[in-house]
Amino acid sequence: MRRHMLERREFLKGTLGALATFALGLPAARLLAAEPASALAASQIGPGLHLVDGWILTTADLRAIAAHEV
Amino acid sequence: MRFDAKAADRGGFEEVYDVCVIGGGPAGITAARVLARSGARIALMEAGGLEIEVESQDPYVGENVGLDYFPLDTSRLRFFGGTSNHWAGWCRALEPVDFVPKRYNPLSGWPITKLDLDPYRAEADQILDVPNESEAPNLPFAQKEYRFHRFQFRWSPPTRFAEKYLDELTASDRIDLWLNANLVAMPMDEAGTKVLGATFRSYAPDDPGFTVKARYYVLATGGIENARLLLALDQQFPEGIGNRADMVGRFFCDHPHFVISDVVLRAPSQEREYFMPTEEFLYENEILNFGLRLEPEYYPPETGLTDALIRGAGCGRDFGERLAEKVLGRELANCDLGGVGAWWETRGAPRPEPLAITRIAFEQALNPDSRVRLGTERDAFGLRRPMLDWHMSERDIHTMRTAAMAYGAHIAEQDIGRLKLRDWLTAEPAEIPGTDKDEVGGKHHMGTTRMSADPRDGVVDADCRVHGTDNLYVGGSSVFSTPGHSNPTYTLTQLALRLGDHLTGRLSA
Ligand SMILES: Cc1cc2nc3c(=O)[nH]c(=O)nc-3n(C[C@H](O)[C@H](O)[C@H](O)COP(=O)(O)OP(=O)(O)OC[C@H]3O[C@@H](n4cnc5c(N)ncnc54)[C@H](O)[C@@H]3O)c2cc1C
Repeated sequence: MRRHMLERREFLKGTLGALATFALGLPAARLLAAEPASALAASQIGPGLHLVDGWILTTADLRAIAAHEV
Repeated sequence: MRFDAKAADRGGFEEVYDVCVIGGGPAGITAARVLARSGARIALMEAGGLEIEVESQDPYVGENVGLDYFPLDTSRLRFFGGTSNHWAGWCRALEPVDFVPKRYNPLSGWPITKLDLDPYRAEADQILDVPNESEAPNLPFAQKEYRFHRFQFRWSPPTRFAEKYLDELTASDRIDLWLNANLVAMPMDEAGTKVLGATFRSYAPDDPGFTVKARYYVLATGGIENARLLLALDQQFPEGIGNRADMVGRFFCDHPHFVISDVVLRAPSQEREYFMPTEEFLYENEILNFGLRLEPEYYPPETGLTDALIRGAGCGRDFGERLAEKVLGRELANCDLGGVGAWWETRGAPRPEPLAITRIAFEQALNPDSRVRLGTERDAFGLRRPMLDWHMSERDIHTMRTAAMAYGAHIAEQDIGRLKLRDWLTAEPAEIPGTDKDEVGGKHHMGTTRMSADPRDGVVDADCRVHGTDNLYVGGSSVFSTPGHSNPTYTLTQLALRLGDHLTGRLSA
């Protein structure tokens, strides 16, 4: 159990993890730094959904990230 | 009555029993009890004693030559009560769809349906002490969702078969329970169609052994051992017993258990949720059945100093007494820091972060090369040790990826949260974690003597009788034709009850 918790903290620190967290506006995001949206390579996986570095994000998430709202 | 093969007079074995049941775990004990109800005389032969011992556990030692798996002598227990001595009690019957063949999973499906097992639900509930089914209905979704059902497990306390049934079996005048009796040979007629006896030895090196004769024999020694014994009892037929079609030991599967994604939720939650695919989604994506668990990060609730002190009073007791309570599953006081550990560790507890993982347990695709074979080393009885060659297939990876993606899509669409697939799962090829990194399997050993209508496709028929034999049956999850995603003991208990009924019918014919 403990092992998984540590991994979860690690993943939040990953850049795209941080971006997704920002896009969601979660409190944990305040601790993390964003990166330019150009780093994102998204592939569409369904209407309005994209697979980005393992994350499943919405078009609105990507727009928010691209507009540096995060 | 109860006997110990180490000490007892074996003269009693002049008697021809109605049924000789080999293996005193959930399957064997259940079958024996049903048969005894009809007045049949049963020999219930158990290899171990009443406690775990080095010498009785040793024949379970084997080799893993396939995917990383647990040591074979730790994932099962070889004494009275069998692996129920440390099972965890997760229960759920198979789904109707689990019995149905799927084009994309060759040989899948059972020669029976769920309706054949349903009549045994009430008694299986009672045996496993699980609450009535109506207490655990599937849960609706708040939103429209075609991909998943929400489902619930039911929980056995967990029932320890040895503890629950030892007195009843000892008092029975229908069942002779033998401890420390290891099956070492099974003489058959020349054609290999009829078992003539079952030979047992105790652990004494010079024990010549003794043979139990019965009209019918049930092999119920666990999902790996049933196959290993059929293969290793090769004294008469080089391929072993019931293995003309070379099917014994093949199709080994577990329910692989892996953390497949991390999740950020909109709001913190402390509730575990379980999801499984709808039939529509299963067929559309050509995947196999799975149970997906959303497990939010757990935060123990804050414990006040007064509460901690009150609970900590229990810490003054003897260590042995506390250990006994722990073994019995009682919640113990946290005795760190002289009994105030719970207060110290949770003081000023942070607000839970909205984090979770998803863990999958799924049905593997049938694979004849995933199998139990025999190694070259022999155990103390001269029988070749088991060798497990466990595999996962592309279909298995596809099932995990599809489940993770679909759940990720669900929570993004509903804005419940966002999900990230674990890197090992998105890697090409997938880098399956080993036992040092993840749970890997449920220690559910299935498929190695699978049930099939056609003798070329499996080992036992729809009545659990070994194809081509007249009086040899198999009990346990090794007979599962297709494993579904639910933990196996509930289903194998239903099957043992059904087997008991079948043999009762044959005995009275
Ligand atoms: C850690 C762990 C947790 C588990 N949790 C769950 C769970 O939550 N839910 C679930 O459904 N399942 C669970 N399981 C699986 C469950 O324990 C098995 O499905 C169940 O015990 C199988 O019953 P069985 O009678 O077929 O075999 P076993 O329980 O393995 O019993 C076989 C018996 O045969 C005896 N035997 C072996 N060889 C011989 C021989 N040569 N001669 C005579 N006797 C012999 C053994 O001593 C043993 O008593 C778990 C397993 C493990 C290891």
